[in-house]
Amino acid sequence: MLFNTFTFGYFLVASATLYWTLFNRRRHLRNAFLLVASYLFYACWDWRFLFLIAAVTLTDFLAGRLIGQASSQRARRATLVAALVLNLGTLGFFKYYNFFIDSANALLGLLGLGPSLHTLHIILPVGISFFTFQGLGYVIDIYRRQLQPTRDPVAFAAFIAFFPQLVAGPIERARNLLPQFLDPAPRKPFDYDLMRRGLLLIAWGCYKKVILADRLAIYVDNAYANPVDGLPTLIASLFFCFQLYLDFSAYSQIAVGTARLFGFRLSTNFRRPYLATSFRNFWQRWHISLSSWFRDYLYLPLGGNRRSTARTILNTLIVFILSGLWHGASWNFAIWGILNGLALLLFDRLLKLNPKSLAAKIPTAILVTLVWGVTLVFFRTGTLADALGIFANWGFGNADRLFSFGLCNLEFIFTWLIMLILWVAEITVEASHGKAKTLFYSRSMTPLRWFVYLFLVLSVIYFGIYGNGSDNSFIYFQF
Amino acid sequence: MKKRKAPAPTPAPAPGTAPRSPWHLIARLAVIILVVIASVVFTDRKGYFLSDQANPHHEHRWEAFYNFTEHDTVDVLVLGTSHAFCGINPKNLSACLGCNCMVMAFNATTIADSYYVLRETLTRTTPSLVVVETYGMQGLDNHHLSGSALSNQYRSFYPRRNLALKLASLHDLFAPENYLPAFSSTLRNHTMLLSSPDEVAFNSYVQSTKHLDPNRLYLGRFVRFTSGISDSLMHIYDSCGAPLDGAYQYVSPQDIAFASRIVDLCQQKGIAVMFTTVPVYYRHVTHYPDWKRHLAEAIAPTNTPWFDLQENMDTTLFNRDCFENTTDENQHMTYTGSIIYTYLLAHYIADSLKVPLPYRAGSHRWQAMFDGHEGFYENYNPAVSSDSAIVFMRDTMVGSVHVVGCLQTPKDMLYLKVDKATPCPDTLIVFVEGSVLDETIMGGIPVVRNHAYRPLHHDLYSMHLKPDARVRRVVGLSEAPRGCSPQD
Repeated sequence: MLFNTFTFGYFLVASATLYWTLFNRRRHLRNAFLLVASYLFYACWDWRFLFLIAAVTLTDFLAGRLIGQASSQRARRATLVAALVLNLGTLGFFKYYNFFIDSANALLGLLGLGPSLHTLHIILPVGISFFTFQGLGYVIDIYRRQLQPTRDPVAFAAFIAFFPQLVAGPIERARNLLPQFLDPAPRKPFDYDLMRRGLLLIAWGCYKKVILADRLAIYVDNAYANPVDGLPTLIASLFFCFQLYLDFSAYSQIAVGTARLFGFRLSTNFRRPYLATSFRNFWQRWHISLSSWFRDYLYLPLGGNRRSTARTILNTLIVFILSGLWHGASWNFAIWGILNGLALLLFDRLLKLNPKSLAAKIPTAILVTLVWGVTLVFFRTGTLADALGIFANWGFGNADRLFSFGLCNLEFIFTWLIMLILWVAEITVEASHGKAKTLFYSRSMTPLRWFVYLFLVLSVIYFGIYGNGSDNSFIYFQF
Repeated sequence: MKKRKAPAPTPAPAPGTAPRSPWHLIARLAVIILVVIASVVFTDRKGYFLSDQANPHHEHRWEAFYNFTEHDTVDVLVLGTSHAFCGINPKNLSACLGCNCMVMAFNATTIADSYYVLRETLTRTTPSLVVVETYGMQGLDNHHLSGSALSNQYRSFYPRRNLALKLASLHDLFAPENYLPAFSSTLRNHTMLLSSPDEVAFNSYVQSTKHLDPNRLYLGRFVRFTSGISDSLMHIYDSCGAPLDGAYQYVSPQDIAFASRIVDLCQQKGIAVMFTTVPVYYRHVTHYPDWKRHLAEAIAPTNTPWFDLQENMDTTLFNRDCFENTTDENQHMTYTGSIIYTYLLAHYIADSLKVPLPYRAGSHRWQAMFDGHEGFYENYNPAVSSDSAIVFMRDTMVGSVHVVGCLQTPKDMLYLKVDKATPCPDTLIVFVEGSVLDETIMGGIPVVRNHAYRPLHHDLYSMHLKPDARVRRVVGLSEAPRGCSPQD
C-alpha cells in the first residue's frame, strides 16, 4: 500500500475516522487500534513478515526491560550485545547475506579457489532497515540511561510499527515518539492546527511525488536502461538528483502529515538540502533522522572529532561507508558512501565555503548539489561498470534525442518549470527564516491558503502520474 | 553536526479565539473535495480525456445495444475480445441465421469482463444463444493488471450503463487502486493534457457529434483490417518462426471461474452457450495443442460445445488474405477472413448446435431493417426491386436448376442463388440482356461459386460487373464450357 495510491487514501480515511470516533477513549484502545492498523498496512505487502516485525518488537521490548532491571553493568552490556546481535543479525541475514556470499565468491574466484558458496532466495522485507534501527535506538538509549524502559508492550509495538513511518522512516527516536504513545490522557485532544498542517503536508508531498518525482522517474528509468552518448544521459543524472530528493522528501512529508492526522508529531527528515552551502551543512539537512542516528549511535561512540585528525577521518569514513551499505547491499552504495565521506572531508576544507549573503549562497548550493549529483550515479546504478558507463556517456551530443525517453517536449518543459518554481519556493522559505510559514498560516492569508490548497489538489489530479497500474513505488522502499 | 531540533510546538490559539472543532476541519475538507469532484465530473462529462474519441467503438457498441433493445431482441450474443469483433461479422451472421445477432466484444478484455457484459445485456434482452470467444482467457489476474491490459479493461468498463452492475463488478474487474479511475476518464487519462494536448483539443471539438444515429443498424460490427499477410511477413515466418508460442499461453483460476460463471448464468436463464476460438494464421502460432489443453481446463468442466477453427485449420480456405499483417502475437482476421469465419460459425450453429433460433427474416420489419446491409443480398432477395438492387428471378426453375434468386446489387455484384439440392459446377454462365454505356447488349456472364459467403440453404454464385453495366433481364443459364474462366 503506497502513499501515492487511492488504496492508501481509503485506508487513511477509514483508519483516521475510526481512530477519532471509536478508539480515542483510552490509551490502550488507541494504541491497540494503531497497532492493528499498522500491521494491516504492512500485511498488504507480505503478511509473513509481520512475524519478523513482531519478533524484532519482542526482542527490543524484552531487551529494554532486562537492561532496565539489570543490577550489574556486565548484565546490562550482555543484554545490549544480545539485542545488537539479534537486530543486526536479522538485518544482515535478510539484507546482506547474498551480498556477502557473492563478494566472497568473487574473492575466491580472484584467488583461483574452489567451489563457490551458494546464495539463497531471500525476499527483502520492506522497511527492515528502518524498523530495526528504530528498535535499536530504543535499546541503546535505555542502556545509556537516557530513557526508561516502557512497561506497555502494546504502546511499544505500536511505536515500532507505526504505519506512517514504518517502511521508510523517519527513523524516530524513542525519546520523541514513544512518550506520545504513552500519553496517559484518556482522550487525545483534537488539535485543529496540527491536523490542518498535516493535511497540507500530505498534499504537498503528493504534489512532489506524483507530479514531479514520478515524471522524472520515467525519464531516468528509460535513460539509464538504454544510455545514449551525450546530453540525454547527463540530463538523466541531473534528473535523478532531483527525483531522489523529491521522492524521499515527499514520502517523509506524507509520513509526518499522516502521523499528525492521528495526533502524533514526527521529526523533520529534510530541511531544503539542495540549498546547503557545504557538505557538512548538506548532511544536517538530508535524511536527518538517519544522519543523526549514525551520529549519535556510531560516530560519537567511535570518538567523533574529539581525537586526532586521522581518527576523525577514519570515523567519518566508517560512518559513511556503513551509511552507504545501509541503503543497499552493493559495492556501489559503499562507493557512494565513501565519495560522500570524502566530499565532507575534502570539499568543505578545500573550498572553505561559508557564504553569508543569499546571492553567494545560491551558487554554492548549486555547486554542492552538482557534486552530490555526481555521487548519485553510483546510487542509481547496480554495478561499478554501469556507473562508469553512465559517466562515459555524459556529454552534450544527441540533443535531438532529449525527448526520446518517455517525456514529450511539453512534459519535459513542464517538468523543468515546476522544478524551478519549487526551487524558488524553497529559497523563499529559506530566506525568510521560517517567517514565511508563520505568515502563511495567519488570518490575513486565508485567500492565499485556499488558493494553495486547491492548486495542490487539482494539480495532483490533473498533472499527476497515477491510475495506469504502473509501479510508482517510493525509492526508499527498497531499503 | 548540529543538535537535532525538537519539533516546533503548535502555536496556541489567539486570545479570545475558541479552539476549532473537528467540524471546522471536516467542513473545509468537504469544500475542497466538492470542488475536486465538480471539476472531475465536469471534465468527465465533457469527455476531454477519452482516449479513442476519433473512433469510440466501445461507447458505440453499448449505445447501439441500448438503442437496438428498445424495440428488438438480440437472439445471438457474441462476447469476447477484439478477435471476436474482427472475426465475426454480426450483420452477415444475422442474415445467414435469419435472426438478430450482436457482437458485444471489447478490446483485450478478460473473460471476467465478458461475464459482466453478459449480465448487463441480460437486463435488457434474453438471447437464445451466447457465443463466448476464448481469447478473453489469457491467464491474467484482474487484480494485477497494468499498462494496456488495464487500459483495455477500463475502456470496456467505462461505457457500461448499469451503475449497480458496474459497482458489483468492481471487485472482480479491478484492484481497489483502480476503482476510481475506472469511473473517471479524467483520473485515468489526465496525462493526455501534457502528452497529447492535440487529442484533448480534438475531444473538446467532437463532443457534440460523437453519438450514434439511433436508427443506424450497428450490431457491434467493426472492420479493422482489410489487407492480408504480406510477403515480408511470410519471410519472417520462414526465418524467425511463429510469433505466438502456444506453450506459453495459460489460463488463470480467474478464467476458469468466470468461464464457469458464464455457463451457469446462461443455464439458469435457459440460454444455450458455446465457446469459439477465432483462428490466427496457421504459421503464426506454434504448439497450439498445448494452448488448447490449457483452454480445455476452463471449457471442458462446463460441458459446453467449443467451435475451434485453429486446430486442423483449412489452410486453403483461410489463406493469407484472411489475416492481419502483423508480427505481434495478437493477430486478427481481416474482413475477408471474418466473412469466411462468420458463415462457418453460422453453419455450426445451425447444423451442429441445432439451437432453436427464432426465424425473423420472414417478417417485413426484419427485412426492412436489414435490407441493403452486409449479407442481406447474399442471403435474401429484396421484397421489391428498387433502383439500387434489381431482382431478375425468384424461385424459378431454369432447366433442371432451382434458382432461388438472381439480382444485381448496388455495388454492381451479380448474384445467382442456386438451391443446395441442385448439384451445380463451380462456374455457371448467366445469359442476360442489358446495357453497357447505354448500348444494348446480350450475352453470357460467367458466375463463380462463392466460397466465402455460404448461406444455409443455397449456394451463392457471384460476379463483379463493370460499374457502367446494367442487367435488365436474365434469359438463361448454362454450365460453363470447358476452359471458360470468369475473366472471359
